[in-house]
Amino acid sequence: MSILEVEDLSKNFGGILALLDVSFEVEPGSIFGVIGPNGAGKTTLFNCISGLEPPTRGRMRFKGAALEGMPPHRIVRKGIARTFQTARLFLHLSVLQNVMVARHIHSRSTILYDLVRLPRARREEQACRDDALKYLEMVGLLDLADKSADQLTLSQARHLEFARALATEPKLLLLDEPCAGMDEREREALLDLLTGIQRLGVTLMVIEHDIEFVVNLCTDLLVLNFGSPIARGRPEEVQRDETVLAAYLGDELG
Amino acid sequence: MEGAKRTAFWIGMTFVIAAAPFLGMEAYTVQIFTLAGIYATVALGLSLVLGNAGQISLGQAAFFGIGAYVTAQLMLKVGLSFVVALAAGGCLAGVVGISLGYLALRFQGHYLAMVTLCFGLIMQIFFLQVPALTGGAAGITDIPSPQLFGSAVDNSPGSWCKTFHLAWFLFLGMAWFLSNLLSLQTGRALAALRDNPIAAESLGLNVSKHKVQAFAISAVLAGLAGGVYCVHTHYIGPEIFGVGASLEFLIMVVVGGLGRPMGAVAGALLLTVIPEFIRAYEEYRLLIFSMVLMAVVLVAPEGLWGLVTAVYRRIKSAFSRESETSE
Repeated sequence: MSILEVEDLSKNFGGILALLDVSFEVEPGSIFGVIGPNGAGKTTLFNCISGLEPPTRGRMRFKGAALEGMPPHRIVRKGIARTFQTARLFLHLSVLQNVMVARHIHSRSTILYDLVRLPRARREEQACRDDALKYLEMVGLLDLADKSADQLTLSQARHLEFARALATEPKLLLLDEPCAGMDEREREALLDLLTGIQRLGVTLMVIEHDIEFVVNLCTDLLVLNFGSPIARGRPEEVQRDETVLAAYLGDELG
Repeated sequence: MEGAKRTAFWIGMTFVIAAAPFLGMEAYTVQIFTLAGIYATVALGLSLVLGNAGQISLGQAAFFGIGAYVTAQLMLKVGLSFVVALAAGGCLAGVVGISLGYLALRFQGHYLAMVTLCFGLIMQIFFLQVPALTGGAAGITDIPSPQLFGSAVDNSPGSWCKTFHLAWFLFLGMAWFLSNLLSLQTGRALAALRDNPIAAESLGLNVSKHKVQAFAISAVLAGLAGGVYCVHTHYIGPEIFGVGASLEFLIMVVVGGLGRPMGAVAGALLLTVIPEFIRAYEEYRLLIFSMVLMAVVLVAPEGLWGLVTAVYRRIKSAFSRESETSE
């Protein structure tokens, strides 16, 4: 059974069609790439799946359960995490605290335990810290744990977002342009990190402009153009697809 | 603060509060400081909403009033003991706080300020116009002092447990609760949702829940403070719980330092003690407060307590640099 099923998904912003009848399925364990020209509706698709924007029409099912109408914080608890095109860090918190926030959904302490610092509250706080450190180590930011999040480089900020998203223990991870702003060496390291995450049993969906990166990473591709899917398949098939070439290069060249 | 240091701080504060009124304080000074302790508790709660949750409330005096009226009437009309009446007052304020908190989710910025301001006005009209419950314009008089082991808790020279203790131990207990919350999940979650609500929501934080919780806690604190207020002054009336009082609480928080428990103390002390020196100019009270507020905002935008900690840090680093060079 596929982990995510999207059926006839449409999203209008006023008169603008951001998504039109998008349908696809994501197989568990795959790395599913979403590509397309600017304004094709890729980020809108992620926003719909993660609950930030309600779809105008259509259905989304995660492991068989309907997602539409669910608020983002409940979708995370179901097992879908995401990162953003421009990293959205908590700039007044430390790097470690940024990840600890993402561990809250796994804490068994409540406000009543915390109020008087009962043993459970202290135990959960310690566990929260230890787990967060584990995820920082995974993305290679352990040395920066106590640094303020506003002092990170672009690439470090992205890695902190990966650590945060992973700390929620997702089954499906949505990455919106993970290697934007990274140099060649950093992209190669990222490729290893993401395949490593896949081996942990996390299904990945990736929006990316760098075609070479996508072809090396992804097992499946979906191509959007003006909100509609124009191709779907394995990377090497999609690369030869004439409509895709036309959409990217323009009709006269294709 | 480290664990042991933290414990020492709270135990130390307990002794200071217990001993303070017996260390040669004049009876009148004890009265003033009792009032400051009551206001500090309200400011503490408001500081959570304003400084930590990043929301505004211009109706805090209404919760203060609810606590005061419920405590007074349950003691007078039902004959409940002070502690039970106080708890009921705090609870009712909390329930109203939760309702206002849910309403507040729909508004932001200026609109939220208007909504909470109107809530404050409506509650004041309620206190005035429902004499069956509130005594109307005449208010409620002859509110008795609480009894502890057969003796009255008040600030009279003979009593060993004073309203002063009631006010400041309430503050200390609430400050302890809040510092626990702020040092654990709640503090982190509130900081996260203030920094970036979309990211916070996308990592599983229920932003609405945290905002409503902050509102509810601030309402409970104001309600409990109101309960202590009514047995301190033995009189309450609608004129006490108006918009002016809400503004004074707001000024205390901003002057003291947003989101800092000790700031609430600094702000409450300053704005309770100043009026004692300017009794002759009572009608200029809000004017003088506003000038203090503007001065603080210009000179120390992080409030008095922010100023104190900044100065302390600078002195400390200067000392450590000196000891480094001497080595």
